[in-house]
Amino acid sequence: MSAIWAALALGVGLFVLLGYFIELGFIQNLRLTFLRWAVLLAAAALVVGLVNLLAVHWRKVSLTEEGWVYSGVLILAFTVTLVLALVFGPDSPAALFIFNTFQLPLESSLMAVLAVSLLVAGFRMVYRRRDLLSLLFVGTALMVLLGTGPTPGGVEGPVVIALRDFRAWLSQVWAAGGARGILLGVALGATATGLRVLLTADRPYGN
Amino acid sequence: MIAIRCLNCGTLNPGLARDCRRCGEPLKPMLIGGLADDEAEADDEAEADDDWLERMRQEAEYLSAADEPAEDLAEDQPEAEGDLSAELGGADELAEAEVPDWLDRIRETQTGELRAKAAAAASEPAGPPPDQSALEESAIRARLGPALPTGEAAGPPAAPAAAAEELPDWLQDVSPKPEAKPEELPRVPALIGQAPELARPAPADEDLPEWLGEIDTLKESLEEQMRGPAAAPGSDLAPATLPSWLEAMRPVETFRSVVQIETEEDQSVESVGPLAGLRGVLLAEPVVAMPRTSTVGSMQLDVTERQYAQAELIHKMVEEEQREVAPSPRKGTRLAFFRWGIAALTLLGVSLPIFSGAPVFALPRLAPQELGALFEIVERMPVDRPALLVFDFEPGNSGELDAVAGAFFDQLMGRGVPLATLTTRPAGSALAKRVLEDRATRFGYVPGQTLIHLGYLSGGPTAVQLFAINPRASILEGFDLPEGMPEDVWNAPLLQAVQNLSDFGSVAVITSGTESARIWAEQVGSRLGQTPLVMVLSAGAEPLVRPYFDVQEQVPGDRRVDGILSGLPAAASYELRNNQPGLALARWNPFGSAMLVAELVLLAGAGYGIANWWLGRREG
Amino acid sequence: MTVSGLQGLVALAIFVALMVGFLALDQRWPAHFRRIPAFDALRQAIERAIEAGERVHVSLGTGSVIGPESAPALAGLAALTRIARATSISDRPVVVTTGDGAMAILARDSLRSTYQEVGASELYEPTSGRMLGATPLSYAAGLPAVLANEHVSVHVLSGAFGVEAGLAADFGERAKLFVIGGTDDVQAQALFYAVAQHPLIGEEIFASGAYLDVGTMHRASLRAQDFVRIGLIILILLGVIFQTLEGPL
Repeated sequence: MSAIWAALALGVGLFVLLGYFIELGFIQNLRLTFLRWAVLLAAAALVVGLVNLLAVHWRKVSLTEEGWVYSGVLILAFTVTLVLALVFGPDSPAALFIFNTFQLPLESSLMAVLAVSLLVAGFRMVYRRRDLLSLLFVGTALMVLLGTGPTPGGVEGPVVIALRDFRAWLSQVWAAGGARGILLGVALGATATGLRVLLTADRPYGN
Repeated sequence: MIAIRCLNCGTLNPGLARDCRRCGEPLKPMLIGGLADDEAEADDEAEADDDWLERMRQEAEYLSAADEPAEDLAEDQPEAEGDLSAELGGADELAEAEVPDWLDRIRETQTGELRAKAAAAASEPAGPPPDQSALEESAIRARLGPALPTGEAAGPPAAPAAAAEELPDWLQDVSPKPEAKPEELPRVPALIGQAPELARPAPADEDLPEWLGEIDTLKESLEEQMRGPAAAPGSDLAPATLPSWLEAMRPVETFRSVVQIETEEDQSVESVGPLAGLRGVLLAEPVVAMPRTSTVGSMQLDVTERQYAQAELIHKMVEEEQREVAPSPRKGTRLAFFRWGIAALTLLGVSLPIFSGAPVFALPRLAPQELGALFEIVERMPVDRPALLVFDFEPGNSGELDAVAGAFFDQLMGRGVPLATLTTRPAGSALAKRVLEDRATRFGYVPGQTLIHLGYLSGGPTAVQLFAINPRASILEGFDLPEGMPEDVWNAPLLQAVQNLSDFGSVAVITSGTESARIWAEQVGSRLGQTPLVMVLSAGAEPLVRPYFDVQEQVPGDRRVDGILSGLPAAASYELRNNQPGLALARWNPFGSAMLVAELVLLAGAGYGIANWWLGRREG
Repeated sequence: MTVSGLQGLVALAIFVALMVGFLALDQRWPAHFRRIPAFDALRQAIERAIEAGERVHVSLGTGSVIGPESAPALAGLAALTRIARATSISDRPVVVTTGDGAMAILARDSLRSTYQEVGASELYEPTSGRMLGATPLSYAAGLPAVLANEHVSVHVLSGAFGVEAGLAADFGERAKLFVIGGTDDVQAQALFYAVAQHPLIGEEIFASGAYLDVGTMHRASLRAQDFVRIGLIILILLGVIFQTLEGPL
């Protein structure tokens, strides 16, 4: 049975891959069909994931495990939002109210927490790692901040302008160049990973 | 066939018998020298080897029979002999059987010692109190029965003279004189607790086997070790003095056996089994042999206090293993003061300009180079074709992107360009509505006519590709469409003329991630034709997207991104250029203050780390 | 077929040929990779977790299974099979979280297959692979509960992450766990470098299969990557030289 799944995965993957290179109508149409199926399956998998999420938290509440109260709140919020969106629509004032009142402020707050966490990590980096790379990392971050942020008081002086130019040079030459190199490597790694799945050496769908 | 003596009455029974033929008690052969019922069917080879043992045993039984009442012995002997004569060949044959010489000598020596001991005990008016272990042993023997063949006096040790007087004549004739010097006869010395004065030189008898001589030599060497080098005979060396610490390490005292070892004369002679005739054999009867069942029927265990304590300990250990350990109460979370301090500092930096109006930061004087290109693109946008705005960011990034994209929206909507929004995130539609709703009212946009929301494009990058190929097939329903709108959103008046992506007046992607920006640039850019592509980005995404913009300056026509706007400083410049102050300028001072706090924290951290490293290096 | 299509096909064929070739040569020409301290530390941390009866948590990120962001998650799945095999003898087997429903299904399938292979099918639970949230930040918000309640001591982040990577790694650091993080996004890698104890930079995440001994094909594909990378470097250098010389000429 696992051979059938592997053959199916291999066949579909090959057609989608070849469709990027070969401009034959048949292959192109097949590729688009498979891609649409993939989009549908991803949406269906989202529903499965949400059911799994509910199951995990329901189990927590049933067994009153540690943190079961928060799981209860999650289930309640999930249910209320789902009912409101299904009954009144996702663009109804009720659903938008939930979004604007809860989700938006919460996610913005998490980003604020991230900012503080990064500052704390930046403060501790040189102390914890004690290597040249960490010093370079913090120094670069400092230069970018100085070159990006405004200057207190008056008009921007030549020093500020020089810092800004230095920051632009850092980000557009060094950062972009390094990022490009990383992206090339990532592309190679992604290619190898995809080919391993196509060659059925990796079977993430299980045996 | 080995005979079995009944533990109850002492009668000799055939080896295969299960019950005593005299008293009827079940026969439990002793482990030593006896065979269990299952092993009764020994092979012929084993039987042949045991014949000489059996003969020795019967001799020993004769010796022990001297302790029994004469009438019992008289009763048993004819019966035993009668029954076993066919198997064992009679007493005459036993007497004439070949016994190894060394064993014979040992037996003679021990018999002589017994006689001497008995005679000495009888002559003493008041001897020392009997040894406790001997008393215990005799008590055990008394409990187990008088007929137990032990090869020694079974009565109380206070009357050894009777044993000596009751020895049969033939034994008295062959036994050596009591005054024979023990040191001249071979013996197996005890290896433990042998006092130096009892050490005997090796026998001069040439007939002694070599291993006996080796035993004596071994014994001597052990004694020398215990005495120390000073006592070694013939040593010319001065004795070494052990240091105190080494002396303290000697295990002699520590491991001295707590068991009281009897002197050789007091040790009993084993009468049965392969060790028959030897002294110092550990008693098996109390431990191994199955005692006769008490007719009284008491089956209580005789448990000592120490055993109770040990059993209790084991019980507790097993109980603890089975008991689930209750989770230790989680310690109160230690307050992260440092983290809170940094957070408070950041909050202070952001809120100080809002509430106190200070500090004030200089407005950006020089606009970025790409701002001019973007401004021109927006100024040239047709007002009869809708512009597609793609909201590709999470609600968490709305704090920054609302301010960055605000200036762009203000210019766009100020010119009256019709807008269509699209999103690739589940919450993107709500974000788009929130961002554009107020501006729509301000600039007089009518939902459904000059502003329409296409909704959520699910499927990620794959869906973007499909949308680029055929937009109408990818989106069917809109989001928050006003009443009266057709079900198919593409039939709305605003979108009727749009068949392909290139039919839009422009495409603007508002995103915080580099990956989504690259996907739109690579997947969609080639299908736009002359329609400009604009990127409104978070500051962090700019380095990787800028090359798509820069390349068009070098190779005209081979462009991917026509306009780029990233970061709050660029947005503030944009607002200044538009002369329309917006969120970017409103947040300029708090932004600057927070940046200052971040710079100071990073600087302090680097300084702290360097100072710590330097001080640590100095201390070595 | 266009020229670019042909070029792409040829490049793909070369890559496949290299992978197969290195696979065939694996015995005769064993692979020698440079040491990545993060993977060494990960091995030790997993061993310690097994001995201490603590759990390993693997995060496959918030990326979708369709699209380029699935690649680091698939690499994470390969590492997951190895980790699940190692922790199958532990009192607490591995737990996997993700921000995508399809990825959660793949994670559960991987776990089930691995446990079947090692004969420990009873260890599999449907909640071993779970989706914590539908959006990246909501996924990150659900992590502290998992790290605290599941007795986690090793926190492996291997998948597609965005800015939530900083939060995910920070939650592990605050709980004093062993944190190793790798992703394909450059921004997120910078966040991992700043926050995580053991960051994986560049394409090191795609090398996890080879370094954790998942299989010979992983080693072969890593060698093929290295080969192609060296070829690209040479091409870039040649291009720079030609461009530089073209100006004066």
